[in-house]
Order: sequence, then C-alpha cells, then structure tokens
Amino acid sequence: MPLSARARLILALILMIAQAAIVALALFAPRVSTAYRAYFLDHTAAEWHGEGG
Amino acid sequence: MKLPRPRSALAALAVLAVLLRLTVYWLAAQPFGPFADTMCQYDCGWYLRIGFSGYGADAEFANYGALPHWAFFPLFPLLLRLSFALLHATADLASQEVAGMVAANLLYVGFILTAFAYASRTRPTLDRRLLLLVLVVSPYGYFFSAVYTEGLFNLLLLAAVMMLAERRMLACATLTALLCATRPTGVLMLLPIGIERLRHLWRGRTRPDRMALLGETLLPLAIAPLGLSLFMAAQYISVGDGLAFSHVQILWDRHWIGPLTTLTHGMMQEDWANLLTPTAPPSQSYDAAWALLGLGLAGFLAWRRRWMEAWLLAAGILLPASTALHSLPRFVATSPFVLLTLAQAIARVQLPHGRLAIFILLAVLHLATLGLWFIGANSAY
Repeated sequence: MPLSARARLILALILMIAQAAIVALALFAPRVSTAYRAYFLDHTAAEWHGEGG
Repeated sequence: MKLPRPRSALAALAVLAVLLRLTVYWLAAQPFGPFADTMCQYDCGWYLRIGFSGYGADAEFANYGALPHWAFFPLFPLLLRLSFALLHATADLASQEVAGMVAANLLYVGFILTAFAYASRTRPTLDRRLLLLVLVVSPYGYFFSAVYTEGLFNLLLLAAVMMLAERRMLACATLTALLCATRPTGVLMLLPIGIERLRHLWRGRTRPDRMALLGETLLPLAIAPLGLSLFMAAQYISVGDGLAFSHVQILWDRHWIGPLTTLTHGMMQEDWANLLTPTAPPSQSYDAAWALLGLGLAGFLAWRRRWMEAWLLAAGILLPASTALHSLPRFVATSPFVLLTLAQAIARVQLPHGRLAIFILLAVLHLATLGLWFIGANSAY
C-alpha cells in the first residue's frame, strides 16, 4: 500500500534524525578503551596494547 | 518507460562466457593446487570468515581479536552466509570457498546482464557481444570470479544509476542503501541523488501540495545512506566506535593522507622493479599509474558530458587513494565505466584484425595478472 504524503515525510524525518544520531555518536561519543583510543583514534600508541574487540 | 532487458540469447551467452572463463581458470590453476583454494587470495579469507562465523569471531590477526573484521562491509558476507546455507557449506574451508565462488560468479553474471541493460540505455550502438568480451577478458577481471565484492558492487552501482536516470527514486535509494552496505564508496551515489532531489524540489516549487513534495524529496535521501548508517550502529554497539570500519584500516597501513600526497609519493617512488618480484612490496608507482589512468578516463567521461559516470569513477579512485594506493589497479580495471569506455574505444577500431589484436593483448594481460594472483603476488591485488 503506498504511503500517504504525511507518512512519507514523517518516515523520512525519523530516518534522518536516527541516522544523524548514529553519526553524532560515532563522531563525538565513542565508547572505547584507552588502548583502542590511543592506537586506532589518536595514533599516539605505536603498538597495540589492548585486548581484541 | 520500461528498462531495456537483455535478450535471453545474450543472457545465455553471458552465462556460457563465465563458465568458459571458469574452465580456463580451473585449467590454469592445476599446478597451484585446488581451484577454489587457489582463487581465494587476500580479502577472500576475511569475507569467508565473516560470512561463516560473523563479525565477532576471532580474526586470527595478532591479538586484535575480532576488530579487523569491521573493515569489511556486511552485505557481501550476508550473501555468502546465504550461499553457505543453500549449499550446505561446513566449517571446512574448502566447502566455504566453493560456495563463496558460486555466489561471486552468480553476482558476476548479474553484473554482466545489468551492464547490457545499462549499455542499451547509455551506449545504444555498442555491440553487446563486444562488451561481453571486454567484461570477460580484461585484466584483473578475475576479481569478479573470486570471493570479492566486485560483482555485487558493480551490479548495484549500475542498477542504482539506471533507476536514478528513470527517476524511480525509491528503487534508486534502496539500491544505494545496499551499495552503502557493500563498500564505503557506495556513499558516492548520495551526491547525484541529492542533486536530482534538489532539482525535483525546484521543479515542484509551484505545486500546492508542499508536504507531498517534501516527502518525495526527503525520503530517498533518508533511505540511501541506511546501509552505512546501520553498519555504523552495529559497530557502535559491538565495538563502541561507529567509525571502526575506517579506524581499523590502520592495520593495513591505511590512514588519511590525502590523494594528492599518496599519488605524488607513489609516482616518485620509481619502484617499478617490484612488479618483477612477486614477493616484493606492491609497486606504488604502478598503483599510482593506474589511478592516474582512471582519473584521465574520468576526465574523458566528463568531456563527453557523462557527468555521473565521471564523478563515480573519479571519486571512486580519489576516496581510497586518500589513504593508500594499494588496490587501485583493481578498482580502476573492474570499474564498469572503465570497461564500457574500453569497449567503446575497441568498437571504433577499424584496422584489419585490430580488434582481434587488442583482445589477444587483453587476454594475455588477463592471464598474466591471473598467474600473479594464483601465486599471491602483491601486484595482482
């Protein structure tokens, strides 16, 4: 059944907001260990000193 | 308007050509060991492991645990899992390799048929049999038959571009979402979709039903990146890093440098001699030369006003080249836009036996790169 105009718009907005939240979490709120951050994000550690994920 | 459909005789010819090529590969692989195992080099093992055991399995890569798996996008491993289930693949690697090759080659046939349909729309005078020959014999073409994403990605890419040209935006957005779940370069389709939707918004500026217009404009834009967004969400939940797919690439010496730096550095290496030694590190000059060749072809496509093809080819080179040059020969040589341009160029050759000579040259290069692939040479990857 085709979506109504209102439903299309609401669905689009929900998807966009959800995806913006995912991107924001990825960019600004990673939940990673100190070792992960040093090696993979900041590149301050030359070697990997953490446990595998 | 309905999409042009490849005629069944051409489809049968495509299947026959793929089977014939697999037979040649099988014969060529005999001195190297079991066929499917010889075809399974480099990333093939990663895809098989993710497809069979999931992202959480131990990657058997130093003590990184499952982390390296996140560099590989999920749609292809999901299709591999389906193939494993249908063909009853077991923990035995050989059965996975065979099931993986079956999936890859079905996708390859799908890509060839999509390329026929795409050529009918964009290059109506191009002989499909000539195009088929190019798709089958061009160098590095073995990536389509190996357990790699080439067939799936290029099939989805051409289908998405065709849907965009037809302005079937929900279909285009859904295909782009799948594309974004196949490779990071799938996001490159977002720009053409965005431009088309802005034009749609502009064309409808006098429409009274503003809500309908806004919904039509935004929904495809919201659906198209879903493949990447959902993958990012999965990474955030599992690893705590929604950009793990990019960050873990440091394990393969890939980190953001910028395409200008990598290309300049690559050309100045003058390490062409590495091509002669299969165990040597990959030749950066060679990889850079392929990238420049691809960029030159993108310039040509832009000159012919094939803007979307030019964008997808050029950005599809510059994005991976911003971290490293490795794999660029593969990305350029298997690009559908390069293959279509090559087919067009060959079609224009009027010299007696000129086309035959070109196809013999392509086949020789194909077999040479295939031989290097079989021995796991860096330059074949």
